[in-house]
Amino acid sequence: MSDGTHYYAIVKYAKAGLLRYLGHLDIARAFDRAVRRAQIGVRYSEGFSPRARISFPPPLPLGAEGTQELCAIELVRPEPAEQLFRALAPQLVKFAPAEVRVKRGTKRSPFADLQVACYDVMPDFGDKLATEDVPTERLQRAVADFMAQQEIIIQRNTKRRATMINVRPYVYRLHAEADTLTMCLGMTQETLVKPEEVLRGLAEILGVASSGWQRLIRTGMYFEAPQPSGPQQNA
Amino acid sequence: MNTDDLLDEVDGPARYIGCEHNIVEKSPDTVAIRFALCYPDVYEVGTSHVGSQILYHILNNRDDTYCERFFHPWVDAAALLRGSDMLLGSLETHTPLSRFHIAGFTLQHELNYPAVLSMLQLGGVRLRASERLPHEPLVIAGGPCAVNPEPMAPFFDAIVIGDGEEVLHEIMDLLGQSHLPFDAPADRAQFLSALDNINGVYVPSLWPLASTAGYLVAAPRADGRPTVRRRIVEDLDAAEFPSAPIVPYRETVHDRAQLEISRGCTHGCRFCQAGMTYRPTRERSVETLRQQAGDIIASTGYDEISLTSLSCTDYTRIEELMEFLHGDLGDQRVAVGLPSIRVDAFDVALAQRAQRIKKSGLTFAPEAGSPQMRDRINKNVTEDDLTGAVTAALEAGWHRIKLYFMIGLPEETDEDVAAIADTVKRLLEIGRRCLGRKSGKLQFNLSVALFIPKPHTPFQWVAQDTAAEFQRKRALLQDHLGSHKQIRLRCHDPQQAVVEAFLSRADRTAADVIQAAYRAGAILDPWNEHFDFTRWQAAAAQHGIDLHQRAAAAIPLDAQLPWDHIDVGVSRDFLLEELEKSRAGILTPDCRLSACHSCGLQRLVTECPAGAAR
Repeated sequence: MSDGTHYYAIVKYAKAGLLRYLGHLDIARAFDRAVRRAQIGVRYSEGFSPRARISFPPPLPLGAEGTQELCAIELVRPEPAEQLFRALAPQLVKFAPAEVRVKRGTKRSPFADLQVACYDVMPDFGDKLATEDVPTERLQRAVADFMAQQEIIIQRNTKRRATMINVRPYVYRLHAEADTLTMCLGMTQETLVKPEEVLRGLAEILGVASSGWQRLIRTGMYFEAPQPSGPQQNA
Repeated sequence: MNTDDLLDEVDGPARYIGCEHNIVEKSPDTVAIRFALCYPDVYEVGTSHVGSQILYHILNNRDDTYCERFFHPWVDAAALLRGSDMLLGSLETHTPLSRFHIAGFTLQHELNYPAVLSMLQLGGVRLRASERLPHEPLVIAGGPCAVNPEPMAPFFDAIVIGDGEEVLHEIMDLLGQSHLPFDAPADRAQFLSALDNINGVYVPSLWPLASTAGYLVAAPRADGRPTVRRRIVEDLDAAEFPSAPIVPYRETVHDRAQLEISRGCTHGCRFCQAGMTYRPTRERSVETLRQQAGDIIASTGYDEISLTSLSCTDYTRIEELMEFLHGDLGDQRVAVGLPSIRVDAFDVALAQRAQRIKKSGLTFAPEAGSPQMRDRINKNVTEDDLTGAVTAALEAGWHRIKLYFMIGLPEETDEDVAAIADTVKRLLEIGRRCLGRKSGKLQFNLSVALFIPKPHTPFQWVAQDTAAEFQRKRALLQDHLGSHKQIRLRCHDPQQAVVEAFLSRADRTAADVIQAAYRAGAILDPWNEHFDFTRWQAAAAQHGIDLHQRAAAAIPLDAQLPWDHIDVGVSRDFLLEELEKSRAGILTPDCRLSACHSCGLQRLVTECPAGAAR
């Protein structure tokens, strides 16, 4: 739009079941084709090879699920959300779309303002401490220990270099119940923390080498910004 | 280990999940026949195969049938499956192959043969038809390689020769009248005798063999039946075509909609098996194609549709079709692609129409460098056609041009090989002149195939170059080309070509070699990184066969051939005549534009379109 206003159809959908094995590009392709089939007024990029403007929040790792995933389809002009939903839903059956909202924005990326992502994680701390051998209390003590720290320093590798960063301030919530960890983590460029990084921090506290996950579900992403999280006495 | 654990371990798990848009979902309990449609290569390759999409559609349109897809897993997943107690399952319902009533494989490429065995074993089905128990799936095959069914014959209960659209219904109708699964060996045997009566169906176990001059060939049958005749769908316009093909998530080798505009080609290139075995040329009408293209785009959301055929620009009303498709689909930002273009038919306006949305590369297939060699192979295009087409393309704004050539053709001299380099260098000069200061953008991609003698072609009797000779010619070509930033040369693997030549012209004893190569680890052999020549060499040696010698041997013209009982339409006399003309450098014009050459096809079709056009 010439006045810098963009209109987006924000689709809430699920990446569940076997679809958790889809890579980010697979999903992007699937949405691109679904949007074309739905014949809605999507905006195209300029240039040599115009593409429909469809964007996604930071992608989930392969194998992870998402119950409240988001996709933004930039519209040529605002349209009623119900109408968009009626057009899109039959084309996205496998992604069980829950709703479409129409959002106005002035920024290039409609998801740049997303602040927090929450996850349910079934950790895998290796054979020696297979989940059933880690009593919930031990995991809960590790979580309390984690949250009581000022700093949890994690090595993050980028293509160019490895940096040491303190992820603790952007772990807004961390809680253990039975075999599942619930966590809410920063997701802006400055506050991004990945669930794997929290697991590495916990593995160190537990004194185990391995810090994978058996199941990882992103349960929601939010625009509200919480305060950086300080040491907590009672996690 | 369960399926989820497996998917967590492997590369590209999206290959194995199914769940695609337009997948057919039926309850297996509601159908009488469960059909396993098997492609003996990985998902990305098999999903792109338009023939399989057609069969999936046809079979699932039947109320009595549920057709589900199987592909060969990538090597990592195949190894995990082998080490587990799991069986290869369908993408639709994850049902093991062994629980289907019938499994149909397509044979697109000889090097895929070991993957057929691998899929059977991963799916819990016995490899040889003779070993299968009554209740096990009937295993059938079809596809272009089936015109010499012998090397794979022992692994199949039946093999379909020719177009599948009609004969498959006849097979399914027959199966629908049977009590499935079969209870006793006699039931299965009885069914196979009934299949044997369907035109175009080859039941290998019912054909006795005899040994002549070192080859196993078909011996006379007690009922006197001389051949199995290829099935031909005469009215292509009326043939079923999927309006809602499956849309994969993962990027595939042809990640676009495909529209089959015609089948068959009568240019008569003498090396080309498809040009001989898919005759006559049949076209779909412009009206049908418009409708199909619109339906496919609406149901898939693809942004590109490719017109498929053996030679697109031969389509009688190509300009009109392109104009319509552009008008219908252009507003939806759908590009219309022509996969390869004959240089004598290249029309800038046509190509521009195709490329209005996306300007991809252009592909031409001159096949040979020297005019003499082009005459010998009956590639009826001239140097002027080629330079004219390339000049026009460059002037119209293309920078990237792909050229298909072949080396090792019969009676090829070093001059013929050098002529390929000369031709390309001449084109490069033209390119530099056309593009001037922008000539840095120029790119000629040379794809050089190695000649493989194929059954049912005029060159079926001739010797293949040895691998060493291929390598020498390749070096010669490279040498003559010199080093140019704008020329990229890609050449097929000589050792793969030797195996392909052996399998193409083999008799039934090759089945033992294929099985031994498979046991030694051959699976995904079209993939260079998984091809190991020594496995084939050792497997052949175990059965007293020297692969190099077999590929490089000429077959006597009077020999009875292992595929003589398969009648594809073109007659032995016609092929011999074409071989003679090749040696004399005489062209045979396209019968659609000239007289009928009596290729033999008249016997198989009620009305030969070539004859009708005269």
